[in-house]
Amino acid sequence: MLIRCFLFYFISFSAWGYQLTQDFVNGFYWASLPVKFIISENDPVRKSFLKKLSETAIKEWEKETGFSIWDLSLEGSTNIIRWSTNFSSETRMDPESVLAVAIRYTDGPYIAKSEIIINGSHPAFNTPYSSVNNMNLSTTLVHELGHTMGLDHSENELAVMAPNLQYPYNGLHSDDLAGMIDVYEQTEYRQITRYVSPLAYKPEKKSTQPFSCGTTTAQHGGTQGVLSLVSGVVVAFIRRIFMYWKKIFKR
Amino acid sequence: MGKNFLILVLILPFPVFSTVVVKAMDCPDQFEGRVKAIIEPVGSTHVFSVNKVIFENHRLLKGNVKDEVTLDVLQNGPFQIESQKDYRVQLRNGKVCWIDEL
Repeated sequence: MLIRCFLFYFISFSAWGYQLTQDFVNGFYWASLPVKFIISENDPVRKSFLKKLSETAIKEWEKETGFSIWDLSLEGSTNIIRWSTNFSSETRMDPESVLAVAIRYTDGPYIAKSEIIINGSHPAFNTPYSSVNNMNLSTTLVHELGHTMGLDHSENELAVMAPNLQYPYNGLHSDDLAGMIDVYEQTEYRQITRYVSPLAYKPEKKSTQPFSCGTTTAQHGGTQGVLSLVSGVVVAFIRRIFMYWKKIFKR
Repeated sequence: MGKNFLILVLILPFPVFSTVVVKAMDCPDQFEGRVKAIIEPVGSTHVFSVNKVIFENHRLLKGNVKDEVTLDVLQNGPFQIESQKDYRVQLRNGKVCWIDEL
């Protein structure tokens, strides 16, 4: 049974479709969890609507993973979720194909700020059917929240982290959960070890630097950094085996 | 029998994870090209900082794209663009739909 368990995880570990953002792979992380977000919106009706859907999206991730990842507050955070009616000129991205964008900034070794901008003029949020609009917006929020933690687009098209909007949305895929567990555990490990990426204080870097949703590439950091990352992966791997055993015993 | 069952059990999970298809976004103008230069903003009045990225169009995939394309790319957004690297770029009306590193 142990061999089966090990092989299952060995095989599945290398076969997940989820990917981590290059920046997260490079060692940047949130200094503390949960990450506080606020809804930035002047229209009270829209604000309440966005808050409700954001809370649902947060709960979905947290219920499935068992982690406390985000905290939606009324104020006191620079991390923002907001609706844009001017998406294209703000972000310079194609308004017809892009539903939302997550922007993130770093400060030293940490992710210091994140902003989720919803393309409010997109047809997916403006159909004649409010239930469809809600589902699309809710799915988009689940997806963008994943980006804020360091999840990139998944290669598994059934995952909510796939680049295309899922309709109808059937909930988080095991690939999403595996990705979030990985990101969360690595974040936790980096916090405990106070990991500092070798790229954090490069003299030529500005205090804020681009975060990407691009594919991951290997980091050419110092030995200590590499060792920390390897240890993080080992800890995550052991925890996965533990969780798998727990699931088996529950059954 | 037991051994065969064990092998089956070990092999079964693999196809579940390997049957993955990536659906590409489909914007009207697409090309593969190299980043010739990145011009960072000076005293930008824009809400978010935007870089001007100059691509050399090496291979037209779809639509109508000039030999050299200048695009506005969000600095802290989804794409981390580096000079002299190759990318697959998807556009609509001169605006970025998606950029993949090659």
